[in-house]
Amino acid sequence: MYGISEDRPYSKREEWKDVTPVPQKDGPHPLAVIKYPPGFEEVHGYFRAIQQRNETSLRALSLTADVIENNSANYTAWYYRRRCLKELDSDLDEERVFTNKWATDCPKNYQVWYHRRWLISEIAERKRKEAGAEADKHIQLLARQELEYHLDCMQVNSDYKNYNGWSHRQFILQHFNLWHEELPFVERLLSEDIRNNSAWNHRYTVVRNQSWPLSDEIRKREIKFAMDAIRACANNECAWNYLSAFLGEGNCKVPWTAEPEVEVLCREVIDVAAQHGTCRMALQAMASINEAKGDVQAAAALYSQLEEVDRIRAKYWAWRASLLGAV
Amino acid sequence: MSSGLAIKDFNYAKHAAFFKKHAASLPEQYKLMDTNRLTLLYFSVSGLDLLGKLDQLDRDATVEYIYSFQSDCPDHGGFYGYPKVSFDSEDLDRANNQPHIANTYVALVMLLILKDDLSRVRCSAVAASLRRWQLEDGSFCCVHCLSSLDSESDIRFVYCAASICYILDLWHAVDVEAMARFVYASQSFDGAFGMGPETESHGGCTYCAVACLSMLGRLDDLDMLQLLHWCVHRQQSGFQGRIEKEPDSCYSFWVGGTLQMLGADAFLERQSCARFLKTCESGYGGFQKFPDAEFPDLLHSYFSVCGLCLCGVLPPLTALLGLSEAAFAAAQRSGALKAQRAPGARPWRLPGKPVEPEHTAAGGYVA
Repeated sequence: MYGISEDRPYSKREEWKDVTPVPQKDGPHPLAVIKYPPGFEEVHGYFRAIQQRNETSLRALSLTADVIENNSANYTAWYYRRRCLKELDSDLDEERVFTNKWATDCPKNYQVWYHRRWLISEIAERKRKEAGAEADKHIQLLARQELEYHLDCMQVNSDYKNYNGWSHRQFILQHFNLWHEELPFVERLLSEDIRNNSAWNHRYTVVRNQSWPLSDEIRKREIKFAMDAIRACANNECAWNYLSAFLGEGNCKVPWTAEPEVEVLCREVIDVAAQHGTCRMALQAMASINEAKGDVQAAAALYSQLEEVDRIRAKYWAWRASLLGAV
Repeated sequence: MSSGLAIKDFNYAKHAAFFKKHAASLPEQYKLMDTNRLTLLYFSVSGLDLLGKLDQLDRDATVEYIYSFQSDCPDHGGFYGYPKVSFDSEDLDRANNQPHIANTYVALVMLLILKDDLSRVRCSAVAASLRRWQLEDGSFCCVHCLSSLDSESDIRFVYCAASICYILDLWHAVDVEAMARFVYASQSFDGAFGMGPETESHGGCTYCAVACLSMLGRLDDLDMLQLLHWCVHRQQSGFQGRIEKEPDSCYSFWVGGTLQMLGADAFLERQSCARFLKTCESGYGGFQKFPDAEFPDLLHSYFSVCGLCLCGVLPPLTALLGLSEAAFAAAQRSGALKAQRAPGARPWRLPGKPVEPEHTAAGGYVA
């Protein structure tokens, strides 16, 4: 009912015979003209006619689906679709099933995820109004299904770093307060791909929302998690990056010297790496540790080593060394 | 080190032809950009300008065409992303024709490139839209007809809002403090920025955030070391947009441009970056996203050309607004571009010893 009912052109459809399509007016000398595929212009012509009539009907709703099918980034069609859904008081569960395909097929499309966000909030809102003892249970179920759906999307597209999908997941967790169940999910994804920085970022977000301000215990747990990942794969930048979320200067951080095991790890990695090259990330971390100790000379030596081995960033390392004197 | 890539090593004639062709018409695969036609046009117009080939366009006709996208509504100003539809009543017009914040930004920049004086821009109407586009959390949505629920809101549109205010000096129309708060909230634990609070650091978002803070004059509050550290580590040969992702031609602009705005151009290693862009150059003209991609596309072609400017292979670019330095300077001289930072903006410069970029390292563009 909400989707595309048939393939015949609109001009041949009985239920559309009272509507005259409105052509696009692009002036006498249009630029950046797109060569439209067959059917594209007709659907849009009828959409403009529906806008002219200010019509929010079932057929208008189904027309928006057709416009979106032709151009899933048409923000006007998405907005018009939401208007129809609201004014027709449509069954939003049905809409959710219907939009599954769009988000799965076009995971990089902003509009579809925004629509999805609106939809889930709206459904939850309606369920809340129903009140009743069951409302909360239904809302929790809805949220969990949405998290499952995010995982499905990643699996179907074999893309576990899709930005919009992760933002959607975080919105759901926040909106329905489900952070406390999330850590096992992150650990599972990281065990599948330890270089998935989206999952590392998600891990931080989970900690941030669940255990803030950070206790020593949780900080130690997270530092250990990053160190274990580094031991398994020392040139994984995600893990080093994560380590620096808890060490240094800033909110809820401790100095680089606060966890002596980090220095032990750095020395270990530097020694092992020395047999076949260098690990610049371990050298950087060592430099940070030395800076924190106030050992300017040792830090400067490491920066000049980095300047040699990490040529693409040579000027940056020289500059970092020059800052040591300035402090 | 092998000899540097120079201007002659890239097929500029083909790239100019590519942009000229796309300024006129685009193949079917661009249908997903149908509601952002001005943005498509911007890539071609600015691309031709950066290549010194703006004379390939009919300037007056292009200016007129861009203005035909401007909204007439006094409280609903800005530029549409696609040709406006005529409606019988003003209410219908307002409810269906959607001035779009990103297309408004590119329209203004294109007009500046084309040496228009912006006198026909309805500034007070644009101000009214800016007010409506801004949400309580300080972010901006891209369209607003009946409600603020008409679109998503994120750091991209905060950048567009800042640019519009900076070009037209419309800061009174926005909540500057809320904007700054949103940008700071979008800073990730590693010092770079994501689309919004708690999201993963990303090259494009980092560009938007840093440009925005630069126009707001609030760069001094940042943890600059962490941010710079993140940026310089995105360079592999070309730049990647996120940690542990493949280098992609467009990030030579997003991240390289961020370095420029931070006064750290020197940290972009020009040789490697230009060499990577060379591997993305298409025989058809234009550039690809990845070296092994099948075809070039307009967006990656444009940002690769921007990258070449940052590598010193082409004349300089003002990354802040996304146009040639020459066009920026001319527009500022003529008074068309106000280039006004937000009230209370504080100056900022890179701490420590100044570092000079290697002017001729990538073969040296000679002006």
